[in-house]
Amino acid sequence: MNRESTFKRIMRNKATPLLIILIIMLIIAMIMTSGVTKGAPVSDMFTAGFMAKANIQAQLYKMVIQICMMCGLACIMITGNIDLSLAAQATLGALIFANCAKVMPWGAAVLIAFIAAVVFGLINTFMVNVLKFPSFIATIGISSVYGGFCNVITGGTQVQIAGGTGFSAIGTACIGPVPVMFIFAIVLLIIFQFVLSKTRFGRSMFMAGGNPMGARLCGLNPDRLRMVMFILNSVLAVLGGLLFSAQLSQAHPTSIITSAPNMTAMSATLLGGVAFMGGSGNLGGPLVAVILIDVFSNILDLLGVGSHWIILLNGVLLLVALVIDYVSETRRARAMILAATKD
Amino acid sequence: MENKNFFKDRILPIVHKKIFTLIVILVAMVILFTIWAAAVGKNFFAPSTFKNILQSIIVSSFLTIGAGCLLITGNVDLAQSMFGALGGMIVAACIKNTLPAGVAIILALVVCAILGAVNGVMVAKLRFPAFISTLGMSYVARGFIYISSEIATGKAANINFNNPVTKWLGSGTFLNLPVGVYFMVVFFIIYGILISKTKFGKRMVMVGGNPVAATLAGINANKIIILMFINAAVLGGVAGLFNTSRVQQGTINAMGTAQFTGLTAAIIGGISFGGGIGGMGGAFVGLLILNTFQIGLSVVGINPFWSSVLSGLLLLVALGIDTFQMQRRFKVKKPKNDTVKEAA
Repeated sequence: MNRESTFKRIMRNKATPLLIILIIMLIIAMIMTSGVTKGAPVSDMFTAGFMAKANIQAQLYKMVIQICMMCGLACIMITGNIDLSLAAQATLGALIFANCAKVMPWGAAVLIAFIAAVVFGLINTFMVNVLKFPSFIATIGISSVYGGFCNVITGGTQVQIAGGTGFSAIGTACIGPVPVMFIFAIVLLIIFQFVLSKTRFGRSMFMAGGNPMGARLCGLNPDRLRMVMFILNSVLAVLGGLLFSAQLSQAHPTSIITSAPNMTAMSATLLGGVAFMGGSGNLGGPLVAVILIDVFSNILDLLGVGSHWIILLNGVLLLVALVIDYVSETRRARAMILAATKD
Repeated sequence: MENKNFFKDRILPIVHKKIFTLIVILVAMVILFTIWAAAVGKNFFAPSTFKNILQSIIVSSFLTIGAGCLLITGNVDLAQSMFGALGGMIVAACIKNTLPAGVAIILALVVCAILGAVNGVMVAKLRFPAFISTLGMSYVARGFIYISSEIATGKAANINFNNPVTKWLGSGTFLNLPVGVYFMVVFFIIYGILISKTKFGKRMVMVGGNPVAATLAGINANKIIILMFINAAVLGGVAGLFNTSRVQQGTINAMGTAQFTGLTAAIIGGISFGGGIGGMGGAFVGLLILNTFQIGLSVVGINPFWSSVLSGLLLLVALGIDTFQMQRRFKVKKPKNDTVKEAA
């Protein structure tokens, strides 16, 4: 009896089907991309194609900025808001860092970039809390402003990160085959998950997202919570942007915006079971989802499918995530009605 | 006394209308740019500038009409410009494969309508958040652009074509003005009448203002929302058609920067972001303001990178004005001190 309920609980977790899909996909990836089907030795499955060290590392590097943004996005979506200016904030933060690093030690430049991030967060907070703009459209507008600034201060060309030897070392350092940066991102994720599920602050986030009115009546300050969330988001986005530029030793005014890690992060967050309207979710599901999305597009890439199919599939994935969210929401609502009528 | 009444009854209502404010802003902007351009030794107040402005609003006008109608019912379609680019690419691909232009255009608009219907069903029936589902659709549409070009020519690339019909649509002139301008004006008038004078338009406004009340009053809100999504997508397709016709090329990255143009113009033009308020006249003037601003900046010689910054700011300012007016509308008026005294 007890065992069955544990099994049921695992199956009910939103991450479980994703994990199963991921494992199947990994196996397919190992078989399809290693050339085993064309007569290569079976041991190639673990050393060539998808599993080749360079490929895996490239994927891990790609995930760093996505995971950073995902932590913030998941939190802000749990509280029932959204920030779509993450990519632009990350770019502008990285450019501020790169320009400051020319004239001062890189530690100080990082500090300035984070101060800028706090300012970005405060600007968003001001628009949503004081001016009462809908967070969606306000952050889109501000993202266009930041994107323009990025081009204005650079004239449209990339900025080399000068003298940042220590900084670039972060970008390329590895423990074994795993980049230090990736480990750092995972640690960040674990900390956020801990805060979400184990602390009073985390509980208050769920409450504010699930029932804003109730939260206010219970004495929570939704405006202050929103401010913390927006600042957190901006800081994480800029952190992601810094790590992204550390990989390349340069800050580019458009490359983060065009590779759209915030969109991947958002699809992953939804796919991983964070409700779009707030109030439920965790970070484990989104992590599995982000790996799933990257592995998926990587397989398509390795199989030589055109990049346009990947764009199409990104859109389809986002819609699939919405469908899953919809199905689980209706199921939960039905279960609640059933439970209510039972008594 | 009589003069004062005349002022109160006739002039004040006009002044209080949003469109009056907008026209004042537009005129102020033209004057500002004229002075600014003169100060840097350029000429803004010239027929060629105004012709440029008209030419530049043709494509975005259809986007604005579609986005505006949708916004009145309280929804947003972020995929609209991508549907337009897809429509343009389909026209190019069909003409390249020797289909007549009429068939190509109809086919493109039908594809847009189908995608719009998908959007509408997702938002109205499945209750997906409009922002996020249409954002997903915009990626899907962008993928389709590449794929349709690949199907037509064997590789995903821009398609050049030459066709008299599309050439006439894109660069033909009538009475010294581009043909597209006439289409635009006709569309604005038709949709303006539809929204402000017909029963259907009243229903649209009602659905946007209070969907629950509209449903209780017997209006099929879902049907109207789905229709408006289809309408927005088809108008996006028309915009894409004009865009493609002008350059005689199906471009892969077409209309990439137009994602928020229609939305911005509609919000500047006083169509409230929450739905239920606004009309086509305001949207038209909003569009004029947006494009006068951009063309003015380029005439004055501002770095084009700044225009992205300033367009974003313009959207935020328009949002601010919208929010401010909504707050003022719903604020309970306190009785003035002297009236209270009189009552006492």
